Parts: sequence; structure tokens; C-alpha cells
Amino acid sequence: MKITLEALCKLFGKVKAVDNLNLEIRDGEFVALLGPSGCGKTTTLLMLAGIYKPFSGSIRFGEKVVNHLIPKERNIGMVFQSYALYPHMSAFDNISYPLKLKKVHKREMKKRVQETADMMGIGELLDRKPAELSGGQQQRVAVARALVKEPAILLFDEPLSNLDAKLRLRMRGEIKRLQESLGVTSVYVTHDQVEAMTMASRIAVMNYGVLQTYGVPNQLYDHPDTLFVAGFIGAPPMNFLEMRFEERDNGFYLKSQALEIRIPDERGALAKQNDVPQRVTMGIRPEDISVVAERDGDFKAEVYLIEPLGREDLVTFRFDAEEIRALTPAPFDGWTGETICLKLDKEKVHLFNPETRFSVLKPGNGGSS
Amino acid sequence: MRGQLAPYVFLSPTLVLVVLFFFIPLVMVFILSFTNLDMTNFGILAWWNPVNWSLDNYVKIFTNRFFPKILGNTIMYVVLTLTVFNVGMALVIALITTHINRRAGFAFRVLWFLPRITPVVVYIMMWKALAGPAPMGIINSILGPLGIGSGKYLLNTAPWIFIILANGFIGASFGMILFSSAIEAIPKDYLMASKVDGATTWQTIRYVELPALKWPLLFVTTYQTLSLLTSFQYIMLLTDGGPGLYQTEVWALTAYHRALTSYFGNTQWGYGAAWSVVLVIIGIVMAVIYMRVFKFGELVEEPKIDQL
Amino acid sequence: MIIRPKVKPVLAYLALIVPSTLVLLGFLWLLITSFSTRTEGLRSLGWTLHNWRFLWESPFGPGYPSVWRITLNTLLMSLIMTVIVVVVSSMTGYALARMKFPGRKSFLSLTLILHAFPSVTLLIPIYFVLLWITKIPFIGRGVPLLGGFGYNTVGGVALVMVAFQLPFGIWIMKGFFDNISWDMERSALIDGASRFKVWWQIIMPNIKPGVAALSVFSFLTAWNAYLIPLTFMVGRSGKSAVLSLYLQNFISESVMTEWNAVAAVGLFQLIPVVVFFLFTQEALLNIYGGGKKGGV
Ligand SMILES: Nc1ncnc2c1ncn2[C@@H]1O[C@H](COP(=O)(O)OP(=O)(O)OP(=O)(O)O)[C@@H](O)[C@H]1O
Ligand SMILES: [Mg+2]
Repeated sequence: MKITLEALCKLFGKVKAVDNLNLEIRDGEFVALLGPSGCGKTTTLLMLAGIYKPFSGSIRFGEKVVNHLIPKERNIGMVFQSYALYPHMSAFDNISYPLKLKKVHKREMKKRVQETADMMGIGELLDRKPAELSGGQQQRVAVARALVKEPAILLFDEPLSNLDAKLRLRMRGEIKRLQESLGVTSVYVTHDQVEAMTMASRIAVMNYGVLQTYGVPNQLYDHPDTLFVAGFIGAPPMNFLEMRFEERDNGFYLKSQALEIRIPDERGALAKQNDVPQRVTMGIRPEDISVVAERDGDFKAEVYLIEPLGREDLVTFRFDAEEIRALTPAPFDGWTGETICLKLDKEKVHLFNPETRFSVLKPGNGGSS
Repeated sequence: MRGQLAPYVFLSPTLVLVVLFFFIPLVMVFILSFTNLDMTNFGILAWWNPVNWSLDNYVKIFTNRFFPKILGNTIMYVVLTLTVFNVGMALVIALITTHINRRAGFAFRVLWFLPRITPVVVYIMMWKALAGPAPMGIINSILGPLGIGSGKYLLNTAPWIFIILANGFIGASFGMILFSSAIEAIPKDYLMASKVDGATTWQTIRYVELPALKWPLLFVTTYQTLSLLTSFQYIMLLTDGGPGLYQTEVWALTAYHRALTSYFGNTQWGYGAAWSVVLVIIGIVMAVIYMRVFKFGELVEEPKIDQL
Repeated sequence: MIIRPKVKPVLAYLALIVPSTLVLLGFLWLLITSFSTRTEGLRSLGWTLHNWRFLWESPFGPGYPSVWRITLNTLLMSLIMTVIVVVVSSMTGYALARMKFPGRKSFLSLTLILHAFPSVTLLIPIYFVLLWITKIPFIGRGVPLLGGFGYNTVGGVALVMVAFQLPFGIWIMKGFFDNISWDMERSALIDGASRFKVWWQIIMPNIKPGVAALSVFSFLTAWNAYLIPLTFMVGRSGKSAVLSLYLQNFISESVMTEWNAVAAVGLFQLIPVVVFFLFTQEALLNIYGGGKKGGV
């Protein structure tokens, strides 16, 4: 089922929880809604579910406007962060509740509940009450309950955030596989960008109720549209430095007190096309910074902190009252306090207009638009 | 559309009961209060006809010689009973019974609950026996040999004390139950944490339990003020406003006397209704003031599900 | 469990016992009186079972309903009232806590304001209302067991008492609903339940402690009701009479009142509910729903 959101708004008193949201989700797609706490993800999901009524705008399932349909008529399944199981019912009764309401025949109901439960690996636990199940098992019951009625759309609201790290990893894979095999259009809310990156075919990033960007994971990572997206996606996060943009000698330069780099001509030209201001914010991911021999370096910095991550080491450098973090192959060859030469990958430099907070390296992101 | 109607379906039983037993009666009382309907002209007077309406009853109330006395009695009765028993004693019992041995606390609450479940007539009889003159009266029979008191009928010598006691013992149980349960509902971790922090019992009460009692306290205060304002049964059975002229007469009792008893050979329904109407207005004003001052609005959260 | 900090026991007991003595003395006297011909203070001037004879014979001559029949009536009326109070309060409390509709806040205030309406004011007009209900076919007089919901019926008296209990019931129940998780309710709606089914199948089973507490409170109140049955049940001797009216038979303005018998009948009315209360105090102590604001 295709989902189309058009100019969707939701107000709580004066708070704009969702602000003019436009989004199209293709049939069978797995889309993640990503954003920091309070940015309106749950609100969006609940509007899809028919729990919240949009203040304005429209929601369409397929071609049909569903704004005024009650949840029951929308044929959706939803998994909540809190699981929202019915404490007074056994796992079986929990899972069968949607079928019972649909007046599905007893025998058929039993069969479908058992099938779904088996698929989720909880076939043996059906006569237990939620209180007698572990967090992971409760989670599976919740997913089974959402699946059992064969919904046209699946909604997930941070379903994994209450699980421990290991279980989270496992459920992540399971949910993704499940979605792929069932082909149900799914919207998955999370504030964990790794979850979004690994599971979703497309990611919608929101902040303060406003859609920041919407695209495939790699694109968001390699070509972030906005300062917010650039900073939000990626761990450890992108480094930002205030620079001056200069064009001279047929080349484009970024300059600050401590360093000056020349960026590739086509990047510079694109930026110029987009009305790049003189003062720009440069972004560079930690993995795009490398430690080099003195003569190849762009600038010098002092090692401030070394954090071994196993495969790599995360090193924080200080220079000129700025801080910058780099991922280096482990083990890092240096010690705290040492001054070292660093080099930036110029092809991976991002540039943002600090006023509009938009990238100036995107076609059509000019200041005038 | 169906969704929009749902709330009213849920409200409808209450609405029906409220209309039947509060609104219609109130409107009738209101109309009656402008008439001079009484036993002598019942069936003759067209009380529903505006021609027969006047403000005479209200003038009569406010020019009544005993009006200040009755008003003063009412205020004293409500304030004293409320503060000393319905809230004060209730709080004391709740705090103590939740801090002593569980079984003992349980037993004390049973004892304090007894007045509430004792048949009214018998309960009053009991208080009359307690107050009775020597040698019958219980209090006098105990204090007499110790040389205390005159042995007279205590309801005549100290009627107010007994009215407040009799009402207070019933009123206290309401707050006692609410407060005790609010204390019981405090998560055990809080108490544990406070104990680990080395708090004394008093500190635990002051900083953990009393804050948890905020809403029950406000609710009980409001609810019981209104209860006391409109209650008259126990005073009626205990002293019936006596022993002196209007000595213990309160507003609600006056309304009852004027409207429903025939001491002077006549029940003045219209006049009694006017007394009631004024009482209703006082009650509503009190309720509104309480709700404003106590910010009862905070108790109402916006529902987190929209009606589609 | 030694979780709650303990007050110095002696002091605490003292602070409780002193004011409790009065009630204790009173009830002791009641017990003694009911088995005595006369008393002087707490001293019996002669023991007897005469006051309790109503248990095995009708003290007002034949044709008079036995005390057991009247006890049954009382039980019936109290149960009916309890059920109605709980159901109606739950429905209204649910709507007030959980549903959006215009005037929601005012409605909640209104329920409390209703408590400011003195019963004395309303008794006479309610009498007329009950007379009207009596005229409605079936509902008025014809309902089996209850007699109906009109004047001089168990059902009618129960309804009036329910109305006066509603302000309390609604506030209490609203507090319980406030503490239920929204996600659970949303989940049920998405599963396809109507608002009514959500309330009945999902929410109500999860506030059983509240239902139990309010039931206990309502039952105790109903069992002991006096003014309303007295006003709306004519014929204290009638089949519909309840215990508090039966008691009234012993109090006469013309003949010497048998106060000792009144004590006995009063105790007879009291004992079952004391026992009931002993077993249900735990349940009643849940009346405050817990949580930050719950309960009221
Ligand atoms: N029912 C409500 N009433 C009032 N304000 C609300 C309500 N629901 C959400 N809000 C507000 O709307 C904004 C968006 O909330 P929402 O729950 O959608 O955020 P979220 O992105 O899901 O955050 P989280 O990651 O913390 O779950 C927040 O500022 C929140 O305080
Ligand atoms: Mg959320």
C-alpha cells in the first residue's frame, strides 16, 4: 500500500509537533523516520494510525484519503516502544485480539495465531501472561499481534529501544527479514541512526517537526542536505569548522587561522553557483581525516584524547581552540600531547551555508531558493 | 461522526441521573422559592405561574432575626469539624496507622470506620448515652466518681462539642481511607531510598509522604466542606437545633425545618426552598473557589487520543 | 516487611488510643445495652436476650416481614446501588479522563459542584420525579425483584442514592483511568476495537483494584443509607423496607421506645458490614489509584 502525506500538520496547543510534512512511501517500502527526541516522529506515526487527527493536510493510503477513517478501518498493525501488551490477557489472547474483533472463526484464529507465533519464535509461550515473559519475548508478542491480522501497513515506534544491545541487533535483523519476506509497507520510527541506516530503504530525517531530508541511506551519509542531517547521521559525528571561502588563482580555497586547503574545482564551482557566502561551515567526517608525514599534511594538531574502538581508534585533536576527531587505523601511533600532522580528504569535504544551514554542494540549494 | 458521539454515549447514564435527580429538582426548588407554597394552600396555589412569584422569601431570610446566628453557626460547624476531624484527625490517623504495626493499624482503621457504617439512629443514640446525665450517661458515670463535671446532660451544657464530635468521627473516616491509601500507594523504593538516606520518620513524612498527599488533601478538603455544608441529619437527631433557641441550628437544618417539619403547624415549602437555594449558591461558590485556588484544572490532562 | 519507618510505638499508640476511647466506650455500651434490661453507664442492671427476640419472632405481630426478609432487601438494594454506581462512574470517569469532547473540563467541575446540592433541598422535588417515573410502564413498577425504579421501590431508592454517590465515584474512577498507559489503549484501537470495547475489554480489567475499592465504599454507604430510604419508601413494614427503616419501627413517638431493642437491631445491621469491612479493608485501601495525581 502506497502512503502519501501532503502538507501534514499537527499542533498541540502552540507546539507544532509536525510541520508541513510531505512524504511519499512506495508500496512495500521500508522507510525509517529518524530524528532526535521530541521531533514529531511518534506524532506522525499516530496520525498514520488514526489515533491523532491531523490539524491540516492529508494522508492517503493508495489513492484513498484516510484522514477521517478510524484506526479500525485503516488495516494497520503497530508495534509500540512500550509493547503495549494487555497485561490481563495471555500471549495467545493478546495476539488473537485483533482477530477476535474481526470475528474470525475460532479454528482459523487458532491456526493463524499459532503460525504467527511460530514465525516469531514464541509458539511455546502462548499461555503465559505478559508479566511472565522477558522483554524480548514481549517484543515478539507485540510484533506477532501487529502481524496476525495481515495488515496493509506496519508501523513501528522505536520497537527495539527497550532491549539490550545484543538482542537489539538480533531483532533488527529479524524485523528487516520479516518485512522483506512479507513485503508490507512499513514505517519505522527510531532515533538510532544505525538502526535507520541498516534497516530502511529510505530514511526521512525530521527535526522540530520539519522534514530535513528524505533519501536512501548512503546518499544521506555521503551528501547530506543540511547541517542538521550531516551532524545527526554518522557516528562518531561529522566535524564542523568555521572557514572562509576564497576564490583566487583559478582555484577555490577554504581558509581559517590554522589551516588552508584547496578544494577540487568542480566542488568550488558548485558552491559558487549556490551563492556560497564568504563565511562557510566546513564538514568533514572522522574517517576522512588521516595522519600523515609532515610534508603531506594540511595542518598540525595536538593529540588530546585517544579512544580505542577495537578495529579503529577515535582520536581527538586540538588546534587553535578547535577540536577535531579522526578515525585512525588501530593502534594509533602516537601519544597524548604529541603534535601531529593531519590531512583532509578534499573530495569528502562538505560545505554549508551557516545562515540557511543548507549544503552549498547540492544542485539547486542556492541562497535564493 | 460515530467517534464524535462516543463520549456522549459514555456520559449518558450520568446525564440522565443528573437531569432527573439534580437539575429538574433544582429548577423546581428554584421556582418554589419564589412562592409562598405551604401546607395550607397546597393544591390551590398555582406555584408554577409567574404571577404568584415574588422575592418575599429571600427578603424574609435576610431580615430574619436569627439569620446572623444561623450563618455563624454554620461557619463554625463547618470550619471546626473540617479542620479538626475531617482533615486533621484523618491525616493523623492515616499517618499513624501506616507507620505502626500493620495489624494494629488495620484494627484502628476498623474502629474509626465503625461510626460511618453504624445505623444513623443507633449512632446518635450512642452519643446521647455518652453525653447522658449521671448516673446513666457514660462519660458522667466515669468522670463523676473522679469528681469532674456536674453530672448534667452534656448535650445541654456543651451541645457544640458533641455535634462536632459526632460528625467528626464519621467525617474523619473518609479522609482516613483516602490518605491511608495514598500513603500505601507511594512506591516502596521512595521510602526505601529515604531510609537509606538516613531520614528520620518525621523527615520521611514531611518530604515523601505529605507531598504525595497533596491531591487527596485538596480533594478531601473540598469534598468534605460541601458535605458538611449540606449535612444536617446528625444535628437534627442529636439536638435538633437546640437546646436553646437556634443554639445549634445550621443552614441546612433550617431549610429542612422550614420545608419539612411542622412545628408551627405548617410546613412552608416555598420559604424552605428559598433557604435551600441560598445554600446551593453558597455551595457552588465555595466549590468554584476551591477549584480555582487549588488549581483542580491541573488534574485534567488533554486526552492523547483524538476523536476522529 | 519492615520497609516503612517505625514511629516510637508507645507514643503513636497513645495518640491514637486517646481519641479512640470515646468511640470504643460508645460501642461497648451499645453491646452491653443490647443484652441488658437497663444500663447505668457501662454497668448492666440486668442481663437479657429479650432485645434480640426479633431474630426468631416478629415483634410487631404476624403478617409483618421477618428481619431476614428485610436483610435480604437491604442486601439487594445495596448490591444494585453498588453495581450502578461503579458502572456509571466508570463510564463517566472514562470519558472525562480519556475522551475529547467540548465542555470536558466544565463537566468535571460540574460533577464536583453537584456535591454542593444539599439532599434536603432536593428531596421534595425528587419525590415528584419518582412519581413520574412510576407512571412509566414497566420501568416504573413492573421490574421483577426490584419492583421498579419509581417511588417506593428498591430500584427507585437505589437510583436516587446512586445520583448522590456519583460525584465521588466519578472523581475516584477518573483517577484510575488517568494512570492507564495511553499506548495500551491506542494499541487496542488499532487492533480494531471500538471505544466501548476498549473500555470494557482492555481498560476495566486493568483497574480492578479501583473497581473493588469503589464497590466496597458504595456498598458500605448503601447498606447504611437512612434519609433517602426513609423519604422514599413508605410503609416501613412494607416488603421493600430496608434495615434502617425496620429499626425505625422500634422508635415510636406514642409508646415508650425500646432503646435496648434499637441497640440490638442496630448491632444486627452493623455486624455484617463490620465483618465485610474486615475482609475488604485491603481492597478499600486501593481507592487512591496511585501515581502522581491518581485517585482523585
Ligand atoms: N498528546 C500530546 N499533547 C501535547 N503535546 C504533545 C503530545 N504528543 C506530543 N507532544 C509534543 O509534540 C512534540 C513531538 O512529540 P513526539 O512524541 O511526536 O516526538 P518523538 O519524535 O516521538 O520523540 P521521542 O523520540 O522522544 O519519542 C513534542 O514537543 C511533544 O512534547
Ligand atoms: Mg516517540
